[in-house]
Amino acid sequence: MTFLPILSFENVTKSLEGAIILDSLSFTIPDNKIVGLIGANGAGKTTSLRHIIRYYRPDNGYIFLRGQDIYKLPDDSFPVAYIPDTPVFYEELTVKEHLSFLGAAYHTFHLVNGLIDTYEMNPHLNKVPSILSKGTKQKLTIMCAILHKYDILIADEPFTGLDPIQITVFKDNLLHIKDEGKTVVLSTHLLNMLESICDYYVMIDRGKLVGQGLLSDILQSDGEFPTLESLYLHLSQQLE
Amino acid sequence: MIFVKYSCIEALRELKILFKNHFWALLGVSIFIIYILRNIYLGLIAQGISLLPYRVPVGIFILFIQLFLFLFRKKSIFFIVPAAIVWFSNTSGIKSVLATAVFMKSISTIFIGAIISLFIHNFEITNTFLFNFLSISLLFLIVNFLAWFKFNHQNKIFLSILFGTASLLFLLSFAFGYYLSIIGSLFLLGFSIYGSLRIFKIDWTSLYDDVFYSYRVDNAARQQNIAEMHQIIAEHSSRQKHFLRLSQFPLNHNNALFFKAFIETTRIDKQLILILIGFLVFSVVINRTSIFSSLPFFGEPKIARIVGILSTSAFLANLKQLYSKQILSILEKHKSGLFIPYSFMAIVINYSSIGTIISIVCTTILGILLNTKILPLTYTLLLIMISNLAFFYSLSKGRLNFFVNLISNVILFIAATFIF
Repeated sequence: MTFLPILSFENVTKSLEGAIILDSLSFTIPDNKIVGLIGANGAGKTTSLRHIIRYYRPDNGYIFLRGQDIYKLPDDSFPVAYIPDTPVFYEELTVKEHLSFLGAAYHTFHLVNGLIDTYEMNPHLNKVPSILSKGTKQKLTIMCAILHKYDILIADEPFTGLDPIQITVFKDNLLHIKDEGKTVVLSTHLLNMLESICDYYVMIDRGKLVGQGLLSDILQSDGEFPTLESLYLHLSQQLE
Repeated sequence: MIFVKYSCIEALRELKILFKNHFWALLGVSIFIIYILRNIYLGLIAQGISLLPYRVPVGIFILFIQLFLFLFRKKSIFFIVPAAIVWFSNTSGIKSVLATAVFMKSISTIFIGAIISLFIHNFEITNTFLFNFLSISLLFLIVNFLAWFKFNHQNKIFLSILFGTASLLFLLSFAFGYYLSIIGSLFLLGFSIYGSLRIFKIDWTSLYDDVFYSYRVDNAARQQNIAEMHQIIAEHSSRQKHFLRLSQFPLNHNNALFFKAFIETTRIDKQLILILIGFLVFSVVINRTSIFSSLPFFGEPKIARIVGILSTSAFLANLKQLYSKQILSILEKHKSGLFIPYSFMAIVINYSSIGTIISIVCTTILGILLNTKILPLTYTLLLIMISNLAFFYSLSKGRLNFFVNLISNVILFIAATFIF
């Protein structure tokens, strides 16, 4: 089965503090799919995602978004939304002010009230992020990302701190985002979750691509592993 | 003792990092301090001028500074490493940790008292010097304890009475030479020490929050992590109640960033605003009133003009730095994934326009108060705009350019010379 790519890494190499984190990494992200990025701790998942948001520049190689070099895309219309593993907020602004500001900036103000209800944020609207619980901060991060105008949503461990109900809500959100014709790249260690919603997988290990494709492709590429979990455990043991 | 040992080791390591990361800034500050000391030396010591004949205004000035610190200081006067509070709380060791902090602060307070006394007595060590040194140090030490009691939520009326008594005793001894009032001050200090040990309770939670906050800010500053430092300060000040909210404005894509910058301006730490206004007020007071005219050095019109220029340019430079920190912080967040649909240049323009408007309005008011003529005032305003334009434009690259910052500060200094 062939997919139309939205994003592609081409021989991307990146070293940080003398260690090679990404080693000639090449993969493609198909358009309008939920893509699971899998790898053990230290495999290079977060570094890859930070390249997509342009936090890092590759030492070598290219990253293309719809065929264009992502580093040449203008700042004011960069079509990527990001849910980072460590939340980033404007410390001076309350929850409501975050949503009002981003809603106005992206012309998505009409989504604000719906998001507040969906994520049950009414009791927290006048609080600043620093006094929110971990889970509530994560909900705010997700809401802020959804308010962006984007073609591709990057989510790095987005389920951290969420309760089971909110995990289900966010999972439904991701499926809805896909229905809108957008792409999601999801990095998480919750492998059952990945198996339940992802259409496509990219597996990396020590900065190199191990495999990419449908779940059956990934598992067949390494033969004896019937589930993602068994493959993941095998890779982790190799890393140790 | 082990606590003292590790505190010293930590302090030395912090000092090493500070020197490593801020060598040029420290060198600049040192040169500035040497310049000020040289001027004081030439203006007072070399000419053999003693401040003793002016002991009443000097005494009132010292009291005014202490009153300011007593009223507006929100941070704990005694600093304990936050980890020590965690490790030693609920053990008897916490008392020796606190005693060490009090001892260290008292030593530095007495040292400052000695320096001030030396300046007042033109560096001549006499019996009068020793008496006044004792008088000043006792006042400083008592105010330290009163600030400590205030931090721990003691009755404000009671503390005001104690401050009033300490002030009266200080004035009697320092300004009028009543020896017996020293004994009164010693009693008051003794009571304060006893009170801190036996009577008043310590709010350990507030103390931990306060010292942990200071520790994080200092640590970020030492590591030259301006974005993190700004984030910590902003988090701290944003916990207060706000009457003006961003959601009250008619937001749209074109004005959202401007209103965000405006709201952040209204939430700047009040103490910082007070310090900035203090620069301007001092410029006016020293040049337009007779408060300092009877004093040597500061009373000289030429010196008053230089001090006014320095004070005004410090106000303008600090205001500029304040907005640069906000801009760098938002650019850093933009890079870290909290994207906003604006170019770096648009972000810089929206934030810097508010900073520049404030600079221009304040400088115009200052010019009016100083009776500056229209033409020099226009030069000043033009130079401020040029300086800010160059400085903020350089920030659109996402980092602070040391040389552009330096040149822009020089332009602000030149701008300030036109109004005086």
